[in-house]
Amino acid sequence: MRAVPMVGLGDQFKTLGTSVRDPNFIIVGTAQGKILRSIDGGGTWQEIVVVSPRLFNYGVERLDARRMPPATGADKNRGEERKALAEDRENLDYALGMASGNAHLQEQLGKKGLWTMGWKRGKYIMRKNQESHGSINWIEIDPTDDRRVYLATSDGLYRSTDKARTFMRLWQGRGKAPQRSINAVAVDPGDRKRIFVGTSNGFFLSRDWGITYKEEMNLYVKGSYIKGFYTDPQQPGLVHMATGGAAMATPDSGRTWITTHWHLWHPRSVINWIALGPNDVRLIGTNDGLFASFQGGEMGTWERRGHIFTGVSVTMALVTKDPKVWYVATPDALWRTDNSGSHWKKVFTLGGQEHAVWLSCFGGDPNKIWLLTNKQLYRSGGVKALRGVVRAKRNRRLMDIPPLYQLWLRVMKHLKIYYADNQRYRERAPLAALLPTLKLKANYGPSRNFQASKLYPYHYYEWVQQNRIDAAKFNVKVILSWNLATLIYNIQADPEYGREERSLKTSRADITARLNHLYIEYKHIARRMALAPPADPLVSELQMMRLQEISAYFNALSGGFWSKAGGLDG
Amino acid sequence: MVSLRMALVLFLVAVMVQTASAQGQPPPPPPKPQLNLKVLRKLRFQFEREPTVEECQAAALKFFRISPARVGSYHRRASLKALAPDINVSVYTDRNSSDRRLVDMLYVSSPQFANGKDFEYTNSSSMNMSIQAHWGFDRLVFNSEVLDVSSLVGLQESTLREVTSLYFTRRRLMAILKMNPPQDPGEKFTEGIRLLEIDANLNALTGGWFKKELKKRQIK
Repeated sequence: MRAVPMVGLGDQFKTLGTSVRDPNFIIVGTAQGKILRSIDGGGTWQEIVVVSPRLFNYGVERLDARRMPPATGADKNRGEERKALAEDRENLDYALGMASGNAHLQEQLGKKGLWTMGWKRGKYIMRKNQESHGSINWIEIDPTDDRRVYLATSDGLYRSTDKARTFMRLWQGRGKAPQRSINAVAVDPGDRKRIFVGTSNGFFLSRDWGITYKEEMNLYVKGSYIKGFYTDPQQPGLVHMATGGAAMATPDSGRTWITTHWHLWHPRSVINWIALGPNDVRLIGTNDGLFASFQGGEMGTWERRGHIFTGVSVTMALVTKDPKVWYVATPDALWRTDNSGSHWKKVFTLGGQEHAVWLSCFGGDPNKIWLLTNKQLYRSGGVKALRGVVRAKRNRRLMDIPPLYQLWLRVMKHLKIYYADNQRYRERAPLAALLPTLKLKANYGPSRNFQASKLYPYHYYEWVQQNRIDAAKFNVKVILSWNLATLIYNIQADPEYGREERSLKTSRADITARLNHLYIEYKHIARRMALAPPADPLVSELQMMRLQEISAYFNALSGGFWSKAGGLDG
Repeated sequence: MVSLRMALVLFLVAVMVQTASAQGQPPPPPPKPQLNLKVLRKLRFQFEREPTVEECQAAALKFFRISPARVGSYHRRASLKALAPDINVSVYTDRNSSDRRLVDMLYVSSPQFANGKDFEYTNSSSMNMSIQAHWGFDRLVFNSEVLDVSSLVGLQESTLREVTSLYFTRRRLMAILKMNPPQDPGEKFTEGIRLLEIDANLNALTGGWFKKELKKRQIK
């Protein structure tokens, strides 16, 4: 497998869409609501923002026009509705702005009459601490027409009619949030007007290009958590569906549903993936390994394949055009078998925080496999020209980069979030008790006392006796206090104590993951540019830009260390 | 005459072979658009005149008040803040007066004692000023606010990431539009709008600096 140069800085990839007609047309969806589109097999990429990016808000919750409060007094009778809405609104937070609640950007943009990413902010209500951020959950390219692309997002169903260049929301979903979060979408290969929509709370079917939707009321389907749809272009009308607790299938485009796999033991009943292959070979990946059926997936025909996967979560599976050659993805590797699952070979190892999120291939060809992880896109096939043949000597400098650890250390130290340094500072907390708290109190108080009297027998004289006292007092008090108890134990010296440390921990993890990912990508591209530069000047220019982009990011985080240590200038 | 006939036969054979081979093979692929190196040079020249990514990053960090210098200053100030004391100043004034008059009933019939026999007037005033200063010197050794300042790094990093990403997305789009423009007018129009959108975002993130800078450098 070979990494494909991508765009974006540290996006979390979530789903992959491939065309059944064009091997070079691929779409990658991210958890931040971004679409990365390539029409030349990953040579060049376009970025399209479908829903508001994570950076600018907490999560998007579009307010339905029907639920807006009446603006005038004409609708005063609808008091109950307004009250309910007010209660609902109490739970919503209008905290527009960048992460960590910075409303400064919005304020400044508002003054300039601008909106973030072209989205009118008045249209949104932000709900804090919500899991979904408008992520792309599923991409379906119409098998009969590449121009039609459907996106299942946590913010509804979107459609493009121009080969994924622009998107419009087709359906917002129905009811509460679980039904608005679309997990999967599929076009019936036999009738492209029929669209299957799987939500976190039920299955919906549209028979008119996505204009109207009807919820499936089958007892076993209603309210199910739909994970995915799997269709075979060779068998119109047949749709397999993976749910949170069973595998189901419909032979007649959604009119009737039958359960194909279910098990009393829950991990074996959680269906992660279904693969359809020739000769009625069907695979299902569960949380308890891989199961195969050679009779079209009928109930009772499933048998375990690959005992090494027992108790292991099989997240994805693939049957190639040779029905005996399968691929399976587990959280830490990609496996291949050439004999229907009797023997398995690890073909690609994943590690760290990288795990597979999508597996697909064009036309069942094992040489055209796409593997998407949360960090990188890979495709099968090696590059023979990379065997030490230096084609471009001047580009060899690109490979002279500092080791990842040095870069990481410099970034952590430059940003002052290096854990050891912070902890060393924390350990000074008990010693702080040696220095006292000083209280200095100075007091000055002048006073005057005056007494005049005329007493018998001298009362006819004017104030014959007068007594005056002027006094002043001045004092200074110095109090020094030591809290020596904290010398013995101070909770602030504990590792990871406090709110700020939790926040730093998250930042450290995020930055480290991003550095790892981008560093590896930089190395891949630099190696290609040095040893086998692309023939097309445009591709070469774009890959050089990608290197510059990563360098600029590394330089900014490390205070220029990257360039000084041999990396490219931004 | 013979050589002319031979030449004619050879020509006919060559034409037949060509026709046969053309019928057996798929049509040739469409020619690849020739890349104009002049366009590439022009584009690079334009990129050189534009604000650099470092300048954009600095402008964005400055706009959000999270530039490294400012964050460093927050750090310094947080660690030294214990040198300045908490000050309490209080002023207290007190003023009292009393007027005593003794009327003796034995002398009240006498007109000169009618108003009173003894008179005494007392007036006292006092003021108290105090100033209190409080230093927590222990915070010179450890102050948790220093670590609090470090948590700004999340905002700093996300701003840097967004600006860098937008900056190079813009460049990629410009390169594609100049070097290999879409043939479809609809796609070309959409890409143009996307470029404007990225410009507006960069402008917003840098507080209007980006547009001003482009104008200053006379770049359209």
